[in-house]
Amino acid sequence: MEPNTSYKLSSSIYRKSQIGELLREIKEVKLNFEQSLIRDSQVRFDEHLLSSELKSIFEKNNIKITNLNELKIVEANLSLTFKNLKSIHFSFSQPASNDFLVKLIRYLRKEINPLIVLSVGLDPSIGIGTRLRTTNKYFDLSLATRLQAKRAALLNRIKESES
Amino acid sequence: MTIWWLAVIAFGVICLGTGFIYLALKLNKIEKNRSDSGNKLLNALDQSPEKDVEHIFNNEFREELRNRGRLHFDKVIGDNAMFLQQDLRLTTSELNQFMKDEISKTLKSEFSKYEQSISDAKQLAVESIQKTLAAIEEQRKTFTNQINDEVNKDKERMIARFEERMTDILNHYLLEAVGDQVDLESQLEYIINDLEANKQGIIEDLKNGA
Repeated sequence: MEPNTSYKLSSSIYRKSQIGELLREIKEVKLNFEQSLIRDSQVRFDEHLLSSELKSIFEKNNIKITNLNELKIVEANLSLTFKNLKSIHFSFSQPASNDFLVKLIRYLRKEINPLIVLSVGLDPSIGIGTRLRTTNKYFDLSLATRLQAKRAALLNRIKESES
Repeated sequence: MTIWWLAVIAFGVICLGTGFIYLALKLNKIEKNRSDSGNKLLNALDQSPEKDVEHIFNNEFREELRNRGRLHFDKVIGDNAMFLQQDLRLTTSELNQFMKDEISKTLKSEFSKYEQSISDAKQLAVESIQKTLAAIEEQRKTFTNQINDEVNKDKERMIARFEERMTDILNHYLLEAVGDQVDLESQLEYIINDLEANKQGIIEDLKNGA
């Protein structure tokens, strides 16, 4: 297990708050494990106590905990992962389903950055498409903007049909 | 010889002149005597008629003369009355004719003036109406031009507004038409294509972002 490494995230974890929850969970797990070791030094780490999200990260990154140090490394890595997360804010015209967000995060992590997390907003004026905001930039990928870009061509077509 | 003849002629003329002067003097004397005897005769004649007149023109004769004169006067008066009546009738008829003519002439003159004034008034009214019509026509043209300008401006404004907001209108129309049939799942491919098109920009910003 290598320290100072950002973990790969499963597609079911796509919000920054989820990572924060996992971080709090791993701290609690570590504390419980420490207490258990104080009571019984031979005690082993029980992965069944972990949440399904944390388990999915363990599986995705082939993490096997055998002692407290490994658990501390996982906590540190997870904390580092939390710090390195790249957040993108998406706005849609209607509430996004979980399946949709999972598909979207898969694409984003595969093609853009593996540490991307999403925050999702609602903006009915978008209609079709989306608007996204990164740290410094704003991308309007709505149909209205695309039509606006093609406005000259559309006007030409209208004028041609009039003449 | 000539001198002798001249002397004879001169002597003859002198003799004739002397004869004439003698005759004139004689005639003058005779005339004087005759006038004196005439005066005496005339005085006698003047006195005798007066006596005869008083004798002839007595009261009966005077009455008769007066009656005759009265009759004659009546006759003259009657004749003159008839003539006067005729003259009066003639004059009246002439006067009537004259009055008719004068009144007709005056009326004709007044009527012609009246007709002239009516004609002038009519002409003025026609000119006024024509001017009013021309003004109305001009105003109509002005209003028409203004309305056309306003309509054209409004049309251009509407077209400009439509062109300006065309994309919003189309987008709104599409949303109204198919908005409830296009869910995010079906938009995913479209969104991913757009993300693919902007991938580099997103990567850059995520890499360089604070």
